[in-house]
Amino acid sequence: MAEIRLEQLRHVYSQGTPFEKVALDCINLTIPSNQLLVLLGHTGSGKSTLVQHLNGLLKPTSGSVLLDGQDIHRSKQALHETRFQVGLVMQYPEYQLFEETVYKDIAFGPSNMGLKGSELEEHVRLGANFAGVSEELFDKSPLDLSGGQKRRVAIAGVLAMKPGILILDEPTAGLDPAGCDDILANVKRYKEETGSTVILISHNMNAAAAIAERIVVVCKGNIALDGTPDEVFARARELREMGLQIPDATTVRLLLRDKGFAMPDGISTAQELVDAVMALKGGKN
Amino acid sequence: MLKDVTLGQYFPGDTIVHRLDPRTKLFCVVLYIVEIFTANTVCGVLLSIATLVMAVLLSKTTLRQLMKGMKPLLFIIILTGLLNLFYTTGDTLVKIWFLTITRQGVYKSLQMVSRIIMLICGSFLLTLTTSPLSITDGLERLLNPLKKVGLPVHELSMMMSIALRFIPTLMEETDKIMSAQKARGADFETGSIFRRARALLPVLVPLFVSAFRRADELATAMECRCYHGGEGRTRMKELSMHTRDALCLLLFAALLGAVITLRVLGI
Ligand SMILES: Nc1ncnc2c1ncn2[C@@H]1O[C@H](COP(=O)(O)OP(=O)(O)OP(=O)(O)O)[C@@H](O)[C@H]1O
Ligand SMILES: [Mg+2]
Repeated sequence: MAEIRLEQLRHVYSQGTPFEKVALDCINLTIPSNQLLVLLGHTGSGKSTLVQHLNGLLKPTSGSVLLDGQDIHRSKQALHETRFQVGLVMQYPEYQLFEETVYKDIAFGPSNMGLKGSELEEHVRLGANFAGVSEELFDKSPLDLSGGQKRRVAIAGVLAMKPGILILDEPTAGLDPAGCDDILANVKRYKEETGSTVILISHNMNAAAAIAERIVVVCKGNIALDGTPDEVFARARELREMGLQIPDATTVRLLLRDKGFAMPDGISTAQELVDAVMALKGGKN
Repeated sequence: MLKDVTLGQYFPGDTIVHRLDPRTKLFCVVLYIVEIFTANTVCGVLLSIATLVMAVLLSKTTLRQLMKGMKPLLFIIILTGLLNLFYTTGDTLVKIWFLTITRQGVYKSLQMVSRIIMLICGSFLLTLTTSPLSITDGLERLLNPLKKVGLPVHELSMMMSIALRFIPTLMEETDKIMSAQKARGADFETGSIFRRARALLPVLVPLFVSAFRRADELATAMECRCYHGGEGRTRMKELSMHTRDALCLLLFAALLGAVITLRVLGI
């Protein structure tokens, strides 16, 4: 499907004023298709800035963003099409709802793509399904929904464009644990069923460890760590120095190892921890 | 960025001009404007320009910041210059086709253009070096006597500070909403005016919704902290006049006096 590449990406906010701020310093990153990548980083490290470059909402101060080897800023037309290929759910997306009904709001993206009739309806239903918006809500006003429901409608609005690359900026911030798990499970399902790439920003380490295929850690506008969850969470000390937590399972593993148990490296989920403990006991119950 | 093109002209700094009391600066701007319009001799105009240059240098304002304020008015400045240049009667200097340039025209046009530029730069300097909040504070204090005749000075200035406080917030929010809609393929840049106006709907609706929500929340928050209007209200940051304010006022009054003298003497 689509590979996205960032080359020497640098972004400076309010350049040339006293408020100048280097948000991204020098980012080189290649994301192959059909990968589930989780972006981690301390607040203010530049994650949101980074993902807003991927669909061309922000223009790099220097460097380039390549989608399948072509610069997305090469023409207005190309940029417009990139927006449909790279779907971005912004941080706290519920403020973007504006239509009279939930259905119309979800249909905003796909109808901007030029879809009509049954094809449009199919896209809307697909988006709603993956975001967990039940069809009873379709005729309601988005303003009458609860916070969590609004969030789902906003996510559905992006999913309905069936983007080949889906980016979610902290989709679960402020939701209840069950809602978080549900959204993440649906995102994973979207990736598997459509073969899309998914880029997820999260502050929840347990969730990140559970679903990520690859983790990229951003620190002060640079990429600090990049690897599989096992590789990244093995560097617990560095993560802590960057002000990040480590998954609970990794914490337990470190504590057990300090107590003298021979624990293998690379434990980041509860299941891996259970397996390791079982192995210690020789596989017996 | 939308944020860069708004009232947010204030550039924080720590120069003597920044530290002056807002009331002093407001007064000085008024004095300066009178000075500009009184000056009708070469010496007077030069003195007014010198005053401005001094203030700009003291405030460490860059030419670029001033130009940014001038840009939207550039058209008017040029138009004024040209009209005065061609439509003043007097001793002919040059005659091109039907356009005549007179000595008086050149003089008048230079005078008008320099007046407008000084006027813009002078008032722009005030907003560049004074935060909007201190300007409203200063205004409130200056207008205080009008309370006696029933003008709700405190309420007006509170409204103004709240408006000023929320302009950047709303701008930021507009930016965010526009980004979110652009991410869903909204197109604000192409098409006819009518289409573009329609395209703004997905931005305006959420913006109004959130502005009303914010207003509501702010009112509740103010009530929770026992806000009850201006009666008997004290301030955390009392404005206070220092020696530098007195000196500054004296200086501007003296400059105005000098310009008036020059005008009377006609040099
Ligand atoms: N519109 C803007 N104008 C100026 N500076 C900005 C703007 N947006 C972000 N910044 C600055 O850029 C830096 C990176 O911000 P960014 O939003 O990318 O962080 P983040 O990693 O997403 O943080 P969080 O986890 O809190 O969402 C921050 O220091 C922030 O202050
Ligand atoms: Mg962010």
